[in-house]
Amino acid sequence: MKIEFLYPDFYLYGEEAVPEFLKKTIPEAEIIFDNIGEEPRFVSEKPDFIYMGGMSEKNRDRSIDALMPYKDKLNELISSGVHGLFTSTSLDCLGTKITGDNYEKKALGLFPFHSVEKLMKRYHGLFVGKYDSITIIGFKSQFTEGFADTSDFPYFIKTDRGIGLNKGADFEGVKRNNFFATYSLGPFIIQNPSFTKKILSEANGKEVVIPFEKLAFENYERRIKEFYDPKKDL
Amino acid sequence: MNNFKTAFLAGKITKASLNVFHRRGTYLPGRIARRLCPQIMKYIGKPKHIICITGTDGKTTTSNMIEDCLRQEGVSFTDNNFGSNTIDGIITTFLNGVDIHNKSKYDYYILEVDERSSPHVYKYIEPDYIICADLFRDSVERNANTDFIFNIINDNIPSSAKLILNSDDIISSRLGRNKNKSRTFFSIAPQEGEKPEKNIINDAKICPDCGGKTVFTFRRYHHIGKAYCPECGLKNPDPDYTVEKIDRENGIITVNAKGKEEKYKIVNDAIFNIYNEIAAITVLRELGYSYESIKRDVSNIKVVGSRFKEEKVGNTKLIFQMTKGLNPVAFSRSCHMVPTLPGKKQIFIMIDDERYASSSSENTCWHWESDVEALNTPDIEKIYIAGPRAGDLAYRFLTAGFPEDKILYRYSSQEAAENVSAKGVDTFVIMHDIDNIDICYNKAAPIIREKLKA
Repeated sequence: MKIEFLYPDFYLYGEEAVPEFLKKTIPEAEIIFDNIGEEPRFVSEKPDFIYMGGMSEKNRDRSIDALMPYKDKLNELISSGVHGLFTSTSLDCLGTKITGDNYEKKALGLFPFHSVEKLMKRYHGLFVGKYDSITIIGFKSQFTEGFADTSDFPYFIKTDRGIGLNKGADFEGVKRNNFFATYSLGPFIIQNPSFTKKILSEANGKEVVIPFEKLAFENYERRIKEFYDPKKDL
Repeated sequence: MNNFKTAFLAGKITKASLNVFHRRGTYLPGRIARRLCPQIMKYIGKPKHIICITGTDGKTTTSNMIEDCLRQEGVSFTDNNFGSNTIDGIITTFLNGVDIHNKSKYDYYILEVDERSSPHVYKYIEPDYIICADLFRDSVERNANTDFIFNIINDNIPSSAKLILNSDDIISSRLGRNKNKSRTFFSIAPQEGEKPEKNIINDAKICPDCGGKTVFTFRRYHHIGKAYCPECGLKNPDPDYTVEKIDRENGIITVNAKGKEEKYKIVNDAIFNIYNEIAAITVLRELGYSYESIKRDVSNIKVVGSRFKEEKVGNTKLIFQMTKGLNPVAFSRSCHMVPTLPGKKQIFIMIDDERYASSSSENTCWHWESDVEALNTPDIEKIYIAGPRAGDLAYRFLTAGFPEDKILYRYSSQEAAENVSAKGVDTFVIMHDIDNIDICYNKAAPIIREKLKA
């Protein structure tokens, strides 16, 4: 199994731990790191799982510039069913554009939404919801909100509590085939063992075992209870 | 000036009322006054001199060191050490600092300034000096990332302020650049045999100016060290004050102060506290205090008890190490410090944010960027983890490769303390947050003391 990480030097918010975590989950996996300024490996070799974690807004824009020449290839991979996950600020890369005060950045345009950035109004909170029958929990800390450009928006998670793609939305993230993206950080992949086990097992072609799986699920269940507790603010 | 007098009196009365009930009132008087007069900072009396200390880590320790020296020099000052370093805490400090005629009672104000509060604080005050010892990523909620927080400070530095900056920090040493600022730099030279730490966080892997790949010729910890960008030429500035030698055995640092050799007592030999000490020495020297005076003053300084305290219980040294939760660099600094303590050790970690536990759920992404791996040494026999997120932190330790029998976690600090078994341990360290200091000292520590005596 080939796992490709896009621009890991940029990662923040605990995302640095994800490569090591996936290595422990699938020890036989080949881990590929793409650096900025180099052609991503997915251009020449098909990965089984592609990942991009959260980063600063400045580095998010650098990532968009770096990926722009390869957006069609990335689109082709997503359409062909390659598994993948983009988290936190990297979700913004996938929309059509990012706008802010006196600022507009063209994004990759792979999904029908745009992001609005407010640098002096950071949103910080939690959400809980469902993807199929899997409960998803998420932490958010972001300057942007996403806005769907279509009514049949290909969202990832239907939120039960907390905000979605924006403060008025009850859906979060984007999804096409086996590719997912979310504003969550956390790291999302470590804190959602049900989801992680499902997509990694699919990508791997056989069931994977999450490291210290019992405790991982105990922590997950504990959090789900907290996130659904009406006495707790999300 | 509309409403200033009303706001001023309301702030003073609030403070006096809180004092009656033995409450410190560190931000409420300021908050009430600001609500009544949003521009209160413009009109309130100012002292002759203001020194501001900002940056991610070391604000309190550095300001304490400066104050300890100024006190010995007979200088009158006030501060916000026991208060909030946000705008309301600073307004409260100014309200406390003036008499009823709005005249400052002190010559100096020593102010810790939260980085996010820079736009509000610097709008109305003109500090003589702003010290920034470092900029790291901090709590994700508060400070987002170093790009963001650097811009917040840099865009709001007042024209009058001279900057005292850490040359070894390639991020914060860019503050005030291209603004014709007076900038003075301090540094700690690479020490003989000094090896770079293994860190998860390095916020300058990528050049903060151009995005090129940075090259480190010497890296002390995280992004602190000597680096340059081959693409745009960014590099660490030349220092004016350099700790050339750290002599831990004799407790002395040798400083090259603009070409002259000076020697000072080491206040605390953790490297981050030596950075705080050289920052304090630099500003005092720049203020005009003589080497002899500062040397004498520094020799009498102790790190304040709430941050680092030790006592002997039976044959065991019990250490209380204040460790900011939610802040991965602060926690990492403690993780690297503990293994340097003598003998067989056990650690009791209680750094979860208790506020979140009652009202929400803590974002624990900082666990995954903290260097817990540094604690995986043979002389650290056991790690007790206590608090609402104990299971999460235990998971972080287990996936980092710690043997399962080395980790014990409980969701209550008392219950974790009841499980302490520390026979023959030389050093027992309690890492606690500032927010749970009461739980630590009044609930966990008494149980642990009994266990250590047993």
